[in-house]
Amino acid sequence: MLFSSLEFLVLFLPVTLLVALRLRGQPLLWWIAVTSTVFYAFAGHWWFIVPMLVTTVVDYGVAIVMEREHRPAARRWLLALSLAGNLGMLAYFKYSGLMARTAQQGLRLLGLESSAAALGVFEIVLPAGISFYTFQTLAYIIDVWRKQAPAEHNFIRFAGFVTFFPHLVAGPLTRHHQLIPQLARIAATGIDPRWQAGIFLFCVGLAKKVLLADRLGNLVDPLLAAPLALDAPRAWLALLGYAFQIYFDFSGYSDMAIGLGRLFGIELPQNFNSPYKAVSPADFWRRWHMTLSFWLRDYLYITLGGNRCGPARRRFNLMATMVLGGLWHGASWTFAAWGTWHGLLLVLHQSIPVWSRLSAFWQRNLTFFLVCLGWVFFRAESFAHAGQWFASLAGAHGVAGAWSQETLLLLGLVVVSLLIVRLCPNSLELPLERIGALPQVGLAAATAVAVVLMNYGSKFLYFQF
Amino acid sequence: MRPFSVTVAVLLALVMAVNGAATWDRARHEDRIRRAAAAFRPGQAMLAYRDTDERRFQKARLAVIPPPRIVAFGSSRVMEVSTTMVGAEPGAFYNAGMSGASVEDFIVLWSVLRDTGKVPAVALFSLDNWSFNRSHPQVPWLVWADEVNRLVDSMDGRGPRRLPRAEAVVYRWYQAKELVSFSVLKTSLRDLDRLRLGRTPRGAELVQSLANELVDERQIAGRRALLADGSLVYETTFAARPRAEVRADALDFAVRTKAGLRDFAWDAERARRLRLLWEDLDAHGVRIHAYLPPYHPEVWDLIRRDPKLVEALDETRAFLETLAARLGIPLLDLSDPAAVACGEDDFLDGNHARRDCLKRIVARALAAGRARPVAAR
Repeated sequence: MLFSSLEFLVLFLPVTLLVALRLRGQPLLWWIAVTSTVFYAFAGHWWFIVPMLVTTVVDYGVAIVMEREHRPAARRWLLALSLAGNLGMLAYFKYSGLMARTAQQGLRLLGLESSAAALGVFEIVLPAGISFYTFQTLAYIIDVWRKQAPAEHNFIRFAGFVTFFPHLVAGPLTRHHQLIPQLARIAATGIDPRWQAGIFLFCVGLAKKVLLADRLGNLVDPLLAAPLALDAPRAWLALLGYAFQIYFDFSGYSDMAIGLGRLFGIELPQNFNSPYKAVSPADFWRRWHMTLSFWLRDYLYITLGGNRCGPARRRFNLMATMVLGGLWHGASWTFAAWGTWHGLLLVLHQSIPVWSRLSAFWQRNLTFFLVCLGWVFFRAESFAHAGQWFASLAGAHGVAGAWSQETLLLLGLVVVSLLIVRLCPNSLELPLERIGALPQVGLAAATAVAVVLMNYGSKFLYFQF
Repeated sequence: MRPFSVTVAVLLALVMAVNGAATWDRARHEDRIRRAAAAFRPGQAMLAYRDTDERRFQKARLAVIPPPRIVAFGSSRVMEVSTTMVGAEPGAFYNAGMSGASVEDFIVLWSVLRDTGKVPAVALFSLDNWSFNRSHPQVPWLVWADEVNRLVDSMDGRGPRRLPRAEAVVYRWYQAKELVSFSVLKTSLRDLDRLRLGRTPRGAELVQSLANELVDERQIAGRRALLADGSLVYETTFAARPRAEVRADALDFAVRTKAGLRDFAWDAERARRLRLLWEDLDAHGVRIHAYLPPYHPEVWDLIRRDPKLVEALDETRAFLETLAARLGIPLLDLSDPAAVACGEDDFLDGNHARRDCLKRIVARALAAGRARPVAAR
């Protein structure tokens, strides 16, 4: 079930919210966990709930046993058990296909065709949001192991933390200390919805998703279906179009999720802070998918040694974090290349002092340009596809061709998007609770148009991760 | 929040009012079309078919004809296939082919048969390679995009097909959703604009044709006509074009559009829809026969010399063969005209075979796999 669907807006949300408003205590938490599970069952296949429930039950139990256990070795075994379970499931669902394909290619290169064929074809359906909830529970277990957090003894509160539907499928990646206390609070007092702040933020996200991201996607996809036919201007236009599509798609989803959280009296963490205003690659990662960046920093980069080592090891830590961060996004080596690209940008940015001598204007535009180049790897279906697109960007397939009406429309949308990302405040900076009558009418018009347009088949790009 | 709530409510109410009014008017009009279509009897021919709304017509006809035993699905390349060509008794065959038809059209037409209890014993599919090319524009089916979405969802197991009452509720829900659908709104606004301009409603020409252009089959006199079994008869001026003109036409088709395969990009969604359709037909006990029709020899020659086009054909064939093998469907790849002994004179243009060639194709397609017992699937 998508946030931008009538099923969600007209059936699921009103029913869930109206019942939740009348409940308190454990029944409220049960209601949230059950309805979130129902929501998830409609996110693709009903069986998606099985690995999620396994993760929930195992990590709930492991954390409690770990808290009671004082022997370091036993605690390490418990941590290993949870890591193996969580990462094993993630590896099976998400990466076994990639590993098998890679092994097959390797065997073929060695001339072992029969062995490659014997490996067979892995076609495993990836449960939506598995990367998100796995990382959430991993953070919880690691914090309990580090004795930085107590184990949650109330099972249904823990289940609510894992399954809470606004963040379940595509984040924001919410930490236990951000959500569990809020669940305890609403259980005690009942939900206290921030109606205006929640509904308006949801509508801003809906408009970003339907009016900008989906329109851009519809115009960019046909261009990228045949990159060999792209002349340089259209290749760049497709790149900019995709850069804005993925931003509005994912930040729109995050806005909707945070807005929905507010309707339940829960504040989910910020996930985007105008990333295309970033003045350096490091600044970009403090603004783009912030909850993932902070997770990678806290549980991977710092665990590897972080900044507490020599320059060479620090660079290695940075590269390893970014490559794994890239692979988190998808089971394809193009995502690893995307992570590598960003790792290189971060390393080079740290190593090249000339960057700080540039004006903020140039820093911002250079960062945007470099980030956009990285999107080629992110969007490309294969390295061959990426290569063709890069060649088109360089003018290898012509520098001037006929522009169709669709291309001109894409140009218009790209210009509008650029103005929005550069000139408008971040959606969380908007004074939504004090918004005047005229802006309300504007937002309402955008919402109505989005509702009418959202019936068109569309998906959130980050669901696949 | 009042300005926001009032504006949203007013705007959505406006959209629902426009769509509701247009839908109500369309439903009345569809009834008229169905009644007119029911008057089309075997032995008659409808002239001026070129100017009618084929999709409306086929949907209306399938709803009113007696249950056929064999139904042909395909684009204009299948439209000449007639009752005599398949060797069926009168009334046992219906040709549901339409110009520019794609998988989505087949889904809607099949749903009419299924939902009116006219499940045929045999479905003959003429499949076009270009159907699976995302870069090749195939837009006519979009007029029933919402319906296609609903049907695909229900075939995909997301709709509760085994619970008739729940299915009815889901159907009503989809109808309700159409009240705020953008594609329906566009059609509604165009319909209202026609009314404003004093023009007849869309499909009115169909009612007029069915009322005024029905003649006895023997009175076609070299004009384009559609027979009561859904098969098309081309006008003499088109069917008797000189070989050079046909060849020029064929070469134009091959060079300009690369036979519909230019910038071939595999359309996985359409492939999925075909799989769902065939699985649904199979689940209803329909025996499917499928073929890829031949190209004009000049077109085929040009295709074979272009590695990208060959790759496109290979990709399509591989998918179809895998799917057909899984469902036990006899599939014939007759893209090469030599495969069915069709020469240059057997074509009307780059990809439309003449009757003699078509007759051989249909005979081959229907004979394929006939010996295989249905239970063996």
